[in-house]
Amino acid sequence: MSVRIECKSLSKRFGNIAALDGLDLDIDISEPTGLVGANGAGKSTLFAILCGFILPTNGTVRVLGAHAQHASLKGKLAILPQDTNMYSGFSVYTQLCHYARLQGFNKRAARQEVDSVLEQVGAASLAKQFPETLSFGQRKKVFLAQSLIGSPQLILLDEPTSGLDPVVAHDVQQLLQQLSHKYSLFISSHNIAEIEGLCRNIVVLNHGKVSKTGTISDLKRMHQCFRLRLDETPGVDIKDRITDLPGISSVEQEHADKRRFMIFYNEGSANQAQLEVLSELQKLGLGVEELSKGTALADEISSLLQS
Amino acid sequence: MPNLRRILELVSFDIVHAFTSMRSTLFVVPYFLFWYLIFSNYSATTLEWLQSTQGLAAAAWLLKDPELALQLLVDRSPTLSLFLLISAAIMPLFILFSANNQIASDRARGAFRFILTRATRHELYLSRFLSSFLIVMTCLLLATVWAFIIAILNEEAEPARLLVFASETLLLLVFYAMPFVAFMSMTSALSLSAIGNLFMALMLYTGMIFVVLWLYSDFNLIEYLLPSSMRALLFDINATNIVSAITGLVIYTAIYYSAGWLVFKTRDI
Repeated sequence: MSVRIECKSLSKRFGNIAALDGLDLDIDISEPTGLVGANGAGKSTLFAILCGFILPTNGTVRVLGAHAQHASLKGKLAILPQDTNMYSGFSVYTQLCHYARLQGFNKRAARQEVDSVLEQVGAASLAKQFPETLSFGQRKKVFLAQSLIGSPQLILLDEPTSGLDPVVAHDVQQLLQQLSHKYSLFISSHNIAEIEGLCRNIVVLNHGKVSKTGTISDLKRMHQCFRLRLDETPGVDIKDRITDLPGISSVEQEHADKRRFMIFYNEGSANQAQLEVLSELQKLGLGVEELSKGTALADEISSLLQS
Repeated sequence: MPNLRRILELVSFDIVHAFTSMRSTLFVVPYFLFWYLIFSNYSATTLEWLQSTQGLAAAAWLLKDPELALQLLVDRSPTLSLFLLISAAIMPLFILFSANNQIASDRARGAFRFILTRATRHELYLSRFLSSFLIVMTCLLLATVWAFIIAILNEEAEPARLLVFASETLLLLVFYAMPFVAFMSMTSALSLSAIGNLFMALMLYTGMIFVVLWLYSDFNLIEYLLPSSMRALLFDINATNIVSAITGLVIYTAIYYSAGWLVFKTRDI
């Protein structure tokens, strides 16, 4: 099943500020997809437009084949929004049942569905509590539960772990990992490691435009290089010795961690370069702790955002 | 086309929310306290005064129509007529508080973001108008029942006849309330908070009254800027006038409602 988002020349201005600036995007979210970008890149604005919360200043947007405001989308698209509150004075259960009823469930089915989604996110014990009495992390879980009601075709998660302590953030990440097998997730986050762990595809936003889309592995292998971490700091300067090896174009050593190297090789000589480097290190009596192809995702995104 | 099932769900949830939150105490308590003060001082003596020459002269002056005053206070139930006149007079103020918080604060709080992925903007806007209108209707119904009981206790007319008058009174008040609720829907779509909406509606309505008073002598038709221009026709015994008034009120409602919808459908939520 295709879970498509299509944006053409999408712009959104708030006064003089262009949150989105002629954004073009055509992606299939059948597999978990991450949306990354610096603060103010337009991630939340894009989600708000996809859900019909705000209207674009210019351009068109289609979600699951329909206009973002179209009635046919109701119940098929869900969101875990940021900076939102439920009604105070009504229990979590009552409000989730209300949402389920809006999605066409009858009273009994709504109760069953709410029980099920609360169970899925491990928040069944919060059902009878009032939203205003919940902690930030508990509220995130409840909001996540509301986004699962009726098994929507696409779920947008806007910064699902922001503001959470590491323990709760880890819980939520694990939960999202499980949910990613069952639901189509489009996750916006500042946490690159989180996106790398959860998603297969990525969309990089920069100044209101799409800077890059593709699979995370392709993005990491965009540059012909591999990353190397030695098990100890070398006593001699090995940078020049590796650079002189056949097939190697350049070597960068990290300033912060002298054991880390980024080794760039010539096109078509990946295997040869790898063998040459390992053999040279063996001659020098240096052990390898970590070797991976491609750049770090965070580095790649950082260079994209700076370009 | 709006989905009726979703609208019913939204309306019922909003009504429960209104009556279980501070939102209701803002108007329910003062509204019924007001009627308590009126009815607790109402007696056979008041009734006699209303039907006396003095009372009729005062009513004729207020209504600018001696014949209508006579019809209301002598031909119909004076208690229910007095209730109708006072209710109509306080209607803008009553609705300013009762139908104030339709959209503004929920939009500011972000609660609509959970709803808008499940219901359309029009369903949301329409349901807020309907729930506010139903809340107003409930208050009017309760106050009319109270006025009916007072009429039975103080007047010699047959209860069945009083019941007919009470039903008519309620119906007229419900129609009269409609454009004011739509007016509040419109201002609520423009405002950023409930309190802001209260001030905006107050300023806008007062401004319109000033415009009418200022220009009325040169341009009589300006009085139709306000739905209260329909009041005299609405209270008339003549059925044609009542139908005209109701038609006029429905048109006012449609205009205010549509103006609010044009704003709400493009607002960021």
